[in-house]
Amino acid sequence: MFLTKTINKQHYRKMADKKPIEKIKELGASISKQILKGENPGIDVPIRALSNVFFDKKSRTLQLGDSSSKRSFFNIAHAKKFLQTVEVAKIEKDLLDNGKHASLRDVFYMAKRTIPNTNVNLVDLQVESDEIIQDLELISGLSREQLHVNANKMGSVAGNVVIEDRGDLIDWGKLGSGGWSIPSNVEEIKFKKVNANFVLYMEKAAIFERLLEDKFHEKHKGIILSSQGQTTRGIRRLLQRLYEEFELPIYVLADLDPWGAYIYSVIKYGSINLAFFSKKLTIPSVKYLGITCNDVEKYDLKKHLIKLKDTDIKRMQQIADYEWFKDNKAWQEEFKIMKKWGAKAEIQALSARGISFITDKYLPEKLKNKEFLE
Amino acid sequence: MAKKENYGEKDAEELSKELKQVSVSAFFERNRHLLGYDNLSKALLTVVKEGVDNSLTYDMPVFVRKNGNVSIIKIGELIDSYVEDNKDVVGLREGNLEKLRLNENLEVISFDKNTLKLDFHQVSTVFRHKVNSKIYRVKLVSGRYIDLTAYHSIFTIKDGKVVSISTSDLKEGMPIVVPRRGWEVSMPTLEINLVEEILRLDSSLTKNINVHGISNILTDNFVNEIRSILPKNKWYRTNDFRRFNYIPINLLRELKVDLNELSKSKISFSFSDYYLPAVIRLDHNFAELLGLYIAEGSMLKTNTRLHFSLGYKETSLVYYLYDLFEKVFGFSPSIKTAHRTAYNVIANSKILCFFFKYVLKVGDSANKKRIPDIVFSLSKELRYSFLIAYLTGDGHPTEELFKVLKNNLTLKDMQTQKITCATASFELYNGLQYLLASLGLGYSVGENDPEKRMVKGILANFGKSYRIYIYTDNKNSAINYLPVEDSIVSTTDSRLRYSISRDNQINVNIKTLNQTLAMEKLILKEGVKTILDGDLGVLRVSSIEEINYEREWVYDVSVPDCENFVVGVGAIIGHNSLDATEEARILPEVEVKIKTISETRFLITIEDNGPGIPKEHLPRVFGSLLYGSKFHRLRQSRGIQGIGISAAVLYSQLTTGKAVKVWSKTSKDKKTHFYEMHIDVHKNQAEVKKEEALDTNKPHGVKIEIEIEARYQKGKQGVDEYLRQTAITNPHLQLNYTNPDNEKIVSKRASNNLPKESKEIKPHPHGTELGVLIRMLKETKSRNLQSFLTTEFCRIGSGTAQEIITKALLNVNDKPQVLMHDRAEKLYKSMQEAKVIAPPTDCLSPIGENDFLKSVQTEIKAEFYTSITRSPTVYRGYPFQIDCALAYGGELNPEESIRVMRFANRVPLLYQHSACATTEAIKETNWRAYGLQQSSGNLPIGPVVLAVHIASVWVPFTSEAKEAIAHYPEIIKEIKLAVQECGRRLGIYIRKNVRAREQKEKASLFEKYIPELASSLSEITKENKTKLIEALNKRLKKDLPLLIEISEEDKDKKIEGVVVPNKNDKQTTL
Repeated sequence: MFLTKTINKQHYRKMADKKPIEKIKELGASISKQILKGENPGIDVPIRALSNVFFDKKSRTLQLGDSSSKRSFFNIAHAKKFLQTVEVAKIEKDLLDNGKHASLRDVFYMAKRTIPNTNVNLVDLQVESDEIIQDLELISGLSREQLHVNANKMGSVAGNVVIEDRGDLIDWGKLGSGGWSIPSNVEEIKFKKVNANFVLYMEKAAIFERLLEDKFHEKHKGIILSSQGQTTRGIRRLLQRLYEEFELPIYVLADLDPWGAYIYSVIKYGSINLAFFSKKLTIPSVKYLGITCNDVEKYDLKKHLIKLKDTDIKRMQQIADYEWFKDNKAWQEEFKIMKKWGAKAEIQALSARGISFITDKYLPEKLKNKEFLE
Repeated sequence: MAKKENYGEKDAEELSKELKQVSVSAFFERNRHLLGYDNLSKALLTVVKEGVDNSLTYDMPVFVRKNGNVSIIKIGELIDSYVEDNKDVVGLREGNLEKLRLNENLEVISFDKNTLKLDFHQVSTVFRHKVNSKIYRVKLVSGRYIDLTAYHSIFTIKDGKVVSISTSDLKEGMPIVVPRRGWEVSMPTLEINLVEEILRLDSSLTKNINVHGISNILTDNFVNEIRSILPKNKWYRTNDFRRFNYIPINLLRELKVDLNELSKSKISFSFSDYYLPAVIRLDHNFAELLGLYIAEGSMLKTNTRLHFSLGYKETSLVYYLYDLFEKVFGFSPSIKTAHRTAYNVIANSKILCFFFKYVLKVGDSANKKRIPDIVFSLSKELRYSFLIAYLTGDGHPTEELFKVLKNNLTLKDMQTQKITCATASFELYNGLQYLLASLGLGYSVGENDPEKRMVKGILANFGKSYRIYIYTDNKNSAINYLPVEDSIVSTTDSRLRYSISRDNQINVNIKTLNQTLAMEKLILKEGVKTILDGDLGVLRVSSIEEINYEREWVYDVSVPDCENFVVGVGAIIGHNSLDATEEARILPEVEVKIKTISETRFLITIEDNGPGIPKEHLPRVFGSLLYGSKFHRLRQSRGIQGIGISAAVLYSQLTTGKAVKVWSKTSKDKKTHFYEMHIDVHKNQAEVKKEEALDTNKPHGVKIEIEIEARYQKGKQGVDEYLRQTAITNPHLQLNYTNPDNEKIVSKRASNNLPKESKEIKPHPHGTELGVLIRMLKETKSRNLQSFLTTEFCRIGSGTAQEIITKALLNVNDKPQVLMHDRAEKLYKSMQEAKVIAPPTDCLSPIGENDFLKSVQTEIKAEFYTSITRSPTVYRGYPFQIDCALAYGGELNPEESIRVMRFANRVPLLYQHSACATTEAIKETNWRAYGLQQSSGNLPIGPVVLAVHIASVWVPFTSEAKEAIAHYPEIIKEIKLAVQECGRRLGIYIRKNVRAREQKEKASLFEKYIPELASSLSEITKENKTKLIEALNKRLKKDLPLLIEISEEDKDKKIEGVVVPNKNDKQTTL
């Protein structure tokens, strides 16, 4: 059953968007000013790369450094990008003006057109506009969601929680077999009721469906959350809010492989790409529940391992060398064992012990014994 | 695609049904041997060789110098010894031809083609092939002869020039080239080091031989060294060595001694008083003594006594010999009266017998006597001394000859015009002929059959004997005459005119020619002067007869640049035309025409410029399918390879019922043979319908015409593309192709280098599968496992073999043929585990960087080309090597995925590209780094053709269809490395040239960008658009010149590859 209640949505939106629109205007004004002065117009864009990211030992998160690059119009390498930046800024201003939200794909199509008298497209591929959107986040210091650009919904959540979203009341426990799909922007949802002891985030949607069917969240009073693959920032922000606003412990269930480890790392320390949002997205106290090498031994999963590929080994080495993993003995040990086996394990390997082994035995035991990796 | 399984198991009807379903392209793809057996180049070589089979019989003596030592040896014995057990032998044509490139120093006497001078020349290759024709004995007027196959050629003189002529074209009376003058040995042997020679012999022969007078080396250290190799209870012997100042020669074998330190020592048997000096000088005395021994000497069977039997009239010779003995060996023989009519000069010396028998190898008994090899290594002068001494003993008139010997005269000083000598030994007879040839002396020979003769009233048995007549005056020897018709144009000398105008005068003396020439009264034919100055002469053919030849093989050797060598009983010059064609480098040119008769019927004509196929072979090559054991072998072997051209003939017959037409011409002055034939399917042999001899203009080559039912398909998998790609991987080929649409497509020859021929290697133990091992075990000729492993595989020595066998808990003496399955499996496992070094990799024939580059350049229009050939490496025990070539830009389409051309052993792979390791490796490479677009996991996009070739002794295909290469990590890695290197070079080119061009283009875009920027900006800021545009345009004018520059990083990088100037460049200026 849906709990719905209409609030004055229009008004709410207008108020929220006041600040972002000013930021975009500021950018435009600065460019115009330069042009009219006869200067080569330029924009400072903070650099988004490992080189400009540092691990802040105090907050234990990844932070963006101070380096930025100048993007100027009269420069062959920059010209098109400069044009794209102004174009996307214009699109975002329109969205904010009209109180509409667009997807990344929408923005791509809004920007895509052929420049008159040439055979050059303003953007050719969506990655180009996506990049610019990220640049504008850095330039304005606002997230794309704040600029009314949303990513695709990628995850689901279930649990004994009631929220309010754009005036609608939604009960996460009563959404059938699919759960509530997490939007790209969770900034404006309000928690009405939260009745849970922990949050379990898992890498695989299939496992989420398994737990949902087995009513794991009800039996163990937990919130279950999943994405397919990498964790979107909507999910990360949602996790962070659950942690910060309700002090719920967050656990991660991922494959035992370098990619799983990185998913955990992103939630815990932040990602290189989004280092400038670390403050809003990272949860330093998150814990890794499984799968661990110890699990493999304990639950006799050795027969169900998958051989490591060259790319796996390479990535594993890279991760093991990250500053924030270097001194983590527990993880270094995991990497060492995986390397020794030359193999990795998927969460689904647990199914070899029985389809509901994960809900009936594995998770309860792990939670009870508090067997987590930091 | 129709199923591509073995034909061997199906009957003709099924075959015909199946073959009907395929298109021309599939047909070509399968029957690439329609153009050849595997691919064009190989086919041509095969055809080339098919055309020139020729060789000499086993017994033909050939005069060789091996590592400096000269000897006369049967050619068969020589080549068999090289070929058997040599791992580098290349088997060709189903094992009918074996070929070995020599790394050793083996020389034969050959004449230089320009100067016609004789000298030793290095042999590059030896051949032997199964007897496939009648064998003929060609005899010359002086009695020399040579046994040859019908196709072998020797040399004749025609119009003043030395030219080759094959046996089948020979007629009685034709002049045949032989050595006329002798030859000098460049570094004659001056002495024999007896110690060294004895050490070279087997130790069982040299028991009890001691070296005396060695106090200079018998130091304390040396004695300790001796003790270290003697058992303790024999240590006392060293005291003897010291006391009597000697050492057993067999002990020396195990010690390190500088033989120079033994040069003053003496050699003897234990308990003997006769000593030979360690170093024997090869001087006149020695040569004479040896000559006399060969004529008159013999030894007791016990090898303890050497004696010379001389006639009772030869008293002075007895004393002469006595003197020689003392001079050469330092001791005197005894002289005894043997009986009423003879003296014996005797030396009871075991060491002397040993020296003659084993070191000099003089031959045991009277009919085994021979000229010791050492004689041929002597200087011309000493050879002459040897000959005179020999003749004094064996020749007639004896007294006059002795006079020559005693007074150091020459044969020319003799009254007699002709010396006669006779021997029962064939080897001596042949050796003498070579000796005479080497001295440039004229002679003739004859044979006496065994007979009974009355001698002084007693009936005596005479065995077969050989006679040699030596002419003391050159005038009397036929070898010093040239055919009149081939040498003289005209003469003003009346005497010469008179003599040649006589009816029967067909030869003219060389001396006369020289004299008349000096008087300027003679005009010679072109080239005759070279003959006069050269070392060659001619003798006419006296008879040609077919002989019985029971051996398996016939033989040939190849002498680069000369293509001839002295061979035969008596010296004749043979022509090795087999290698001649190869060395002559006939560059293949192939013409393919496909003519449409109806939509499903085509007439295919293929013509090459090879040396043609001899008439006798034509029916067999084209008219019998899978002949012999091939038919059975095919079932187990790999698909259809090996069916050859005859499969095409069969296919034509099954689909259209038309006979195949074949034209073949083997040389310029021969007729073209034309055949029209069917295959008799029941008998599996050719059924000739029509046969003709025609006159055509072409110098040589083969042309076939086949009509088949098929379908013509264009595009990526059609014949056109197949032939185009074939041309790319065969740069030395000129391919002219007319397709069914009557379009002429010419693939020009890109390189003049014939490909290096690949060698066959034995399987490597790590690359052998169990099934194969079991089959090999069954089929091996080895009697035990040990020899099975060492002979059937490469890189397994006896030690490794033993280790493998022991580890498999088997016995070295187990019979491979009866090994049970479970044991074979154990052996297999043990083989896999054994540590074996990687197989040799020099057996591969890559296309090569330069040639690949050139042919890609001729076939593909682009602006940038580069290529690379990786070093060979190994996967699973099989060596392989990658060639890669890349073409960029030009007329290639920049919007599509790059075009990948895949080749395996020069054969294009047209199907299943996505299943191929090549495609995988290219996809895994990051092309964005090299300036191409690529979404991950896909082929990059851009104007690129990438050709990748793998050469391997065993290309791992994913299936029997042989269309894709299996994903072995080692292979993918190598392909990736090759592709990446080409990519890296492309990247530099693109950044440096293409980027610069693009920058210019981009700069021109600014004025187009400005209104866009202004319009967007004004929407954000509400600023006046026109004002913004004005300001921006002003700035642009100022900045434009500064905008175009190449990045510093790429400025210094060199472009590796070939750049073809692009016509568009000029237009893209600002």
